[in-house]
Amino acid sequence: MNKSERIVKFTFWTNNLMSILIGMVMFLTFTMNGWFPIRQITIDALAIIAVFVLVVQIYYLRVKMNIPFSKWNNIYYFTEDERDENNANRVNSTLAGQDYQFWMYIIGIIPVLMYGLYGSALLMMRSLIILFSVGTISINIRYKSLWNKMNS
Amino acid sequence: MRNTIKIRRKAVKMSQADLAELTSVTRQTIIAIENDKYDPSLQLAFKLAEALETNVDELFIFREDKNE
Repeated sequence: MNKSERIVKFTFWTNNLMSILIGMVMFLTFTMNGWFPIRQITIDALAIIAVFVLVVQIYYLRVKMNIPFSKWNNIYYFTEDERDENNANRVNSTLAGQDYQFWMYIIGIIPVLMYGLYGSALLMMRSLIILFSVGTISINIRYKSLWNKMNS
Repeated sequence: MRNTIKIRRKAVKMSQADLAELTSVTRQTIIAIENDKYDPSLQLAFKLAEALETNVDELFIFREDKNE
C-alpha cells in the first residue's frame, strides 16, 4: 500500500468518525431538553473525542505523512504522482456532478418539508443535522469506493 | 495505447521499483502503465523513454480504442 492509499484509507475512517461525532453533538443540542445534566456531559465528552480525533488526523497527515499545511486546501494534497492526481480529479468530478448535487437538494428540501408539514423548527433542525451527517458519510463512502475502483 | 515498457525494462534488466524511482512515480503507476490501464502524460512518457534508453515512439504504439 503506497502513501496515497494509506492517506485515503485513514481519512476515510477519521472523517466518518468526525461526521458521526459532530452529528451527535449537534443532534443532542436539539434534544433531551428535560435531561440537561446527562445531555451536557454527553455533549462535552463527544466534543472532546471529536477534538482528539482531529488532533490525531492533523498529527498523522503533518508529521507521519509529512504533508505541509500549505497543501491541505488542495484536492491533490495526498497524491504522489500524476496517476494519483488523475484519479483524484476523476473522483472529485464524479462526486461534484452526482453526489454533491443530490445531497444539496435533499438537505435543502426535506428539512423545509418537515417544517411545512409539522410546523416544528426543532424537527427541521434535527432532520437537517441527520441528513447532513448521513450525506457526508455517504460522500465519504462513495469517495473511497470510486478511489478503489480507479486505483485498481 | 499499447506499450512495450515491460519488454524493454526486462531487456535492460531493470526492476519496476528502479524504473519508478528513476521517473519519480510510484511502482503502482509503472504496473498500471505496463498493464495498459493508465496512459502516461507526455512528460512521463519521455522520462520513461530516457530511463529505458530508448525513444517514445518505440515504447508506445498508438491504437484507437472505441471505448475511450
